[in-house]
Amino acid sequence: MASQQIFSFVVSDPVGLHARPISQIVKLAQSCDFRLGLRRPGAAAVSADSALRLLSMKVASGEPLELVIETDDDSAARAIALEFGELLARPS
Amino acid sequence: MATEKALVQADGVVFNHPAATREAAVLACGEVLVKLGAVDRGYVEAMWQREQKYSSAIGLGFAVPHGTDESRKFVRFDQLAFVRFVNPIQWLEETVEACVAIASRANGHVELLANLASLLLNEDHLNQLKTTLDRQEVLLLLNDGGR
Repeated sequence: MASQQIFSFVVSDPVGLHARPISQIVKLAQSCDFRLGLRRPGAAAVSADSALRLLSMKVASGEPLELVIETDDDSAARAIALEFGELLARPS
Repeated sequence: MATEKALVQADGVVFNHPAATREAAVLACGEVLVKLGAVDRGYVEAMWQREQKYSSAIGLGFAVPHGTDESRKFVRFDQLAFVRFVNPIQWLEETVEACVAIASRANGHVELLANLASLLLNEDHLNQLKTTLDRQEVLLLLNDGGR
């Protein structure tokens, strides 16, 4: 089983995690070879390829989030995390 | 003083719309919002522009067309419209059976979307929205989250 790599983010988009970044996150999750999960620190992760599950998290601006990537490939995981961070930070 | 309107009204619920393409579906949603007086016509065009940039499909057969930040000036009051189609519509990689169109002046739509998502993740509510022919049922679900 692949190990879990965890990256921490803060949602800086003033609107929080809304429809546009969510649709991009879903695309990223669907196009990537590993399972991506998203969670509030300490909470259970939600599959990042489901827009509905991400939406229902109701993540507000300024909230910390953790991206969980299931892979042993460190550099691939870092590249995905970098891309993910851009999706979170880009203003609407 | 503006009257407080319900987020979804009976006239904002449409079953059996004949739209067969993504564009026709989004424009149909916009028309419903225009008829309700919730948005000016400029919003409809913005909904389609936004749709072309990022698909508003959210899974489980639903899409949530809405405008852009710039088009908020066309919104007169916050409102949802529920439009279900005769046949499922090919929506890029997804298939959409119904739309919940959103007109929102502020960031209220984030909370709206979150509530809608929770609603759709409940299998009973999802099936109700996909099959009911009772407007009141849709109003109850969308206005009160099925509570």
